[in-house]
Amino acid sequence: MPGWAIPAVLKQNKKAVKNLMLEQTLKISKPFLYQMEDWTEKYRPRTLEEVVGNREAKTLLRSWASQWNLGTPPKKRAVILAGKPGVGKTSSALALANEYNWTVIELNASDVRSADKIKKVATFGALNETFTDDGRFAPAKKGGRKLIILDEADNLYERRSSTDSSDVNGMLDRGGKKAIVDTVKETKQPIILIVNDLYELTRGGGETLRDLCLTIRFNEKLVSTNDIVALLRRICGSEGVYVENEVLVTLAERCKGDVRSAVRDLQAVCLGRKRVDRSVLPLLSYRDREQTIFDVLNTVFKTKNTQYISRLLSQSGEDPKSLIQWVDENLPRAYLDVVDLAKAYEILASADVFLGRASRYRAYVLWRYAVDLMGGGVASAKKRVYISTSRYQFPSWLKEMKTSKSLRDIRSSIAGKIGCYCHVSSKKANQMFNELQMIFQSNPEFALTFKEMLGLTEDEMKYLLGDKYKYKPTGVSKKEDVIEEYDVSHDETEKKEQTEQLTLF
Amino acid sequence: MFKAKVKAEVIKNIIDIASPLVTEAKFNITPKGISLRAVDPAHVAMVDVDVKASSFEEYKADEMEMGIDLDKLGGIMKLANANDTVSLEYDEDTNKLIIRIGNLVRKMGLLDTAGMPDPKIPNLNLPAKITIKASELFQGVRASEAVSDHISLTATKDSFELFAEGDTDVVNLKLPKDLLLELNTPEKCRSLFSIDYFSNMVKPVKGEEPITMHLGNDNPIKLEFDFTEKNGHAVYLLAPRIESE
Repeated sequence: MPGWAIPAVLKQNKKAVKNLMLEQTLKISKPFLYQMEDWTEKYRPRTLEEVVGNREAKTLLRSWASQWNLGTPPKKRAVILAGKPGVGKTSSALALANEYNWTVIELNASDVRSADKIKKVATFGALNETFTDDGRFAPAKKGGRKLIILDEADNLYERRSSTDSSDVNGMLDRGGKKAIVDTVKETKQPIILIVNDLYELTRGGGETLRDLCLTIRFNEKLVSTNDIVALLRRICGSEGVYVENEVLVTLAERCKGDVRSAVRDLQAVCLGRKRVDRSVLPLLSYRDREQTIFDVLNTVFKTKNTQYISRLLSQSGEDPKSLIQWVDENLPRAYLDVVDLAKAYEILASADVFLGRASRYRAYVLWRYAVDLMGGGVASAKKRVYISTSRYQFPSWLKEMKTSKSLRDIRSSIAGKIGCYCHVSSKKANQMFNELQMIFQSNPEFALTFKEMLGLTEDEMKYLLGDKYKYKPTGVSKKEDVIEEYDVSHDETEKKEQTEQLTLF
Repeated sequence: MFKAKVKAEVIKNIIDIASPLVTEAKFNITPKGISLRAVDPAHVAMVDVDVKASSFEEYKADEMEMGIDLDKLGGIMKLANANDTVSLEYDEDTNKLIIRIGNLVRKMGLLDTAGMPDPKIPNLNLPAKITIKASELFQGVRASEAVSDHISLTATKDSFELFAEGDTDVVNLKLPKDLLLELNTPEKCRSLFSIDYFSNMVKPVKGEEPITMHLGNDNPIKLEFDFTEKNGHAVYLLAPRIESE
């Protein structure tokens, strides 16, 4: 979820904020508050021209749209608009539809967006002609397109519960990503996917989207402060509020390209006033922006300002344990000089030592040192500045751990059973694995009795027997033998269990 | 003001007709009766239902609008048998619809109608007119559903044809003029439609009742039928599939 919901009138001066709020509650009666429109909606741009900044992105978007109206739809039928919250992605999409007189079908995060719902709305919408809101029939041949907007498409699908461990291969993914891919493949109407985090959309089944869609990036740095100030001034004008220039400039500068938050903040300071002067300045604060892991890596690898890095890391909300994986994975991609690399790894290793101690002794204060070492420490290890723009990758260790999870689960379950039987710790049982596997594979009879003894499941047998498992049931006679043996021994174990239970009582 | 008594079946019919397309709808209430018009969220189909005041046992109303959650109302109507009389009353003070089924009183909160569109049924050039028994059409639709996700409808001077082609299987239902209640077209008309929608539109029509289709060339299809002894009238419009460009 984008982080724009918190107004920036922040805690810097708590007393002043309290006073301000008190003042406001006294001045404004409740019904008025309810009726008040959200300025970000009220002043949403109607044309692409009105969207602030990102000229190039808007041009790309418009040229894509005009191809639709030329008769033959463009090769890439969907566009991904990627960028930070508040830079104007949704606004651009809606403005585009308005300019081209397209009917808009919007699925945003507040709707249920299971595969079924996406199919019902987006897919059917994509394949059929259109009735407009006021009930006109608008055939595609006459330019009557409908624009399907999937807002916040990066947090569409995975309603995973963290407690559910059965989610090995993303089983809980409710097919939303696949539904989107299918829709984009088949669509005969323009589609716009809007994401904050492109990476989140194009992983785990969404890889094909990268090729199917035209990606247009909205860069918050390409929204100039002057443009934002101009917009804010225009809003003040039509709201009939006088706001001192200095306040507008501060708002515009501090929003860091997040136009929506600037407008929101403006509304917050204007609430119930006709005149806003510089006395509100101390109430305004910087907006915290969540940093993506890629921004963090970029800063660590390419700058040397340890203080700044330290602040950035604490803002990023990234867990030190996964952060160290990211740094580890991407360090060789960033530091091209071997000496620098060696030094950086040396420091990273000591960060790891701190991490290890932190979890062993549950002394999480140590994280602080670990984070500083893997951030500022690694940053200061380099002698020169690297400009190369290598692509950062997801830690392969985490990837491996994820794919091998089911195997590791089987292994630990076997170890648990052995440990239970031999009365040793499962760690110790784990050490017998190689020998056990050898015996299992060379002596099927032993394997069978062992299986019954420990109550191993088929999956566990499969793991222990390896390739041999497949070959076993090929011969017809052998198969029967095996089945018989299974049956007999099944009975035996049941009896055994019964007797065991009896003796227990 | 709105106060009415009606057989539960009538309300159930309205819900059956509208709910495949929309989950929330604006009911327009006039002294003459109740109507509902809506476009589905994918902007592919429209529905227009009219129920005359004469289908109610008692009916008193001023002009007003009610925003109704159809799933909810459908759930309430499940509490009544088709022949039970249901009394409906709008309570202005609480903005709720009071529904009485026997001794049961159910108050239902209404939705804000401000954001709900008020579409008009467009005038379309649909030259072919076909009237057919619903059961016959439904058989063809059901067969096609298993095979494909789209269906083509063709009307010529002497027959009406329904055709669905999947990857491996084909369904074809050809009805000559004498098996139809009416067939009237100056030229050959053909359009292609999504089967999910089409089947949802045929389903609410009961067995032997007639259903009238207006068909054009790559144009929407208009389906019309009466219900509750011709006191109710429903119109569906379905936009065609976009064929390769």
